[in-house]
Amino acid sequence: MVAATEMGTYQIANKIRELRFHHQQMTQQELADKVDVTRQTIIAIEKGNYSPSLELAFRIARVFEVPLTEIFAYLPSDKENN
Amino acid sequence: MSHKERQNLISLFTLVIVSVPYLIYIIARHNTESFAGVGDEISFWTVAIVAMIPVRIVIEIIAHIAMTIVTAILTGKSKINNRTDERDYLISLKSNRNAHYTFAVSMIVALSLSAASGTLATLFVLILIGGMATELVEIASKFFYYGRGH
Repeated sequence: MVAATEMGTYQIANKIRELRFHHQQMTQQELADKVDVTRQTIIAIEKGNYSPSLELAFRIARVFEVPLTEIFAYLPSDKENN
Repeated sequence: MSHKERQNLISLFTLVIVSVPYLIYIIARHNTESFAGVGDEISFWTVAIVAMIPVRIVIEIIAHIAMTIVTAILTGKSKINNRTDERDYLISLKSNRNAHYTFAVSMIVALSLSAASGTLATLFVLILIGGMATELVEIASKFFYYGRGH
């Protein structure tokens, strides 16, 4: 499932929930502790309600040991497609 | 509800429980007192405003400590996660910005209405109300931004 934050006609999608599941079912709190944010911030990012800063995005990518583009994507919004 | 949202609730609680009754008390006391001149009246209002600040701070600190203790008892966790991250700072900045706009507008309104009415009491009452409105806007903004996510 891909969550997305809208910014104009494009949206920032992420696969954090999926990646957590595939990393020994990491909890939101565990990920929050690893990247030094609150659990509420991780929840907001996963739901697509908040776009993380570049630094936070890199920290998340480092935790999952994948490139940034495998976690976050800049996609045309659904409204544009419709 | 996160710890930050609970803190916001405490601020709203102290605003309603302390500031509003205090304003009512000060207005009632102003109406019963007689002032020798404008200087005395200005002294009355400035003391009233300045006295409120440390009282609010102390009550808010006590309320936050009480909330932390109650939360620890109810959740069974001895350590509360009070981490402040980038999202918290962003929400705080946005809320402060809204509060500053509110304060600026309330000052203009206070000065305008005071000039129209010609009384000193109008000015200071509106300053106090403006201060409370500023705080209310900041608290409401935080609730809104935390609910929205950013």
